[in-house]
Amino acid sequence: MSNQYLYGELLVKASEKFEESVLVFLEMLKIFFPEGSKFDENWIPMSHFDLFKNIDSSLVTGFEGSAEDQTSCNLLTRVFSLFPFNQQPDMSLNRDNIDMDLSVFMTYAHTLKSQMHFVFETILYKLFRSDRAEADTKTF
Amino acid sequence: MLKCVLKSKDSDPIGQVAREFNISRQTLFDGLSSGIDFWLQCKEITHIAQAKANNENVTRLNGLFEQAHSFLKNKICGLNEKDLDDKFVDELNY
Repeated sequence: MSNQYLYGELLVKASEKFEESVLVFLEMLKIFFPEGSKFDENWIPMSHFDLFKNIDSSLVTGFEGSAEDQTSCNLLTRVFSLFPFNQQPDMSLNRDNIDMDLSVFMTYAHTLKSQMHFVFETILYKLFRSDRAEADTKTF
Repeated sequence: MLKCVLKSKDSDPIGQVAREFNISRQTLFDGLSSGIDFWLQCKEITHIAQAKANNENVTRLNGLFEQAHSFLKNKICGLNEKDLDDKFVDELNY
């Protein structure tokens, strides 16, 4: 087990419907990202943070409770948001439901996801170009 | 939507949030159910990550996940939805 890479081990264990989300989550773990600390000027470029501060506070969906519960709530909602929810065409969203924390988090998640697509496409391209298209997961 | 469910003081938080977002109760229920499965998988990943790289950051992250897990479990069990409660009974399978 110690000889296996975390990626490979998880891809074997992860159910198919979670694969992409699990990979994004793993990438985020490298930078300790899903933890529940609030986004502030340490995470967000200053120009964005100024904008963030000026946003109508009524648009910031918070969670009342102890600091621990707030952290847990942030962590849970961030992890849950990585799993795609089947939206319905007539689903509605009002101003009260806009969550700035999740919006910032998802911006980073989408950036990571598109970068990962690029990396995997590059790997696949190289495999095909080097005539190793039949490579299995051990030699991948 | 999860945050809304966790915040709701309604006697039927899932139904109330589903109405708020104009989706069916079953759709939200299914989403929550899959979300919990995904959460359990991610929690397992943090355990594996700790086994692979036992350092201060990973240990802290594991602690945060355990804390959040207890929080989620309490809230979900408070919804009185047996199928969702059972996810936590089966969590050892992950």
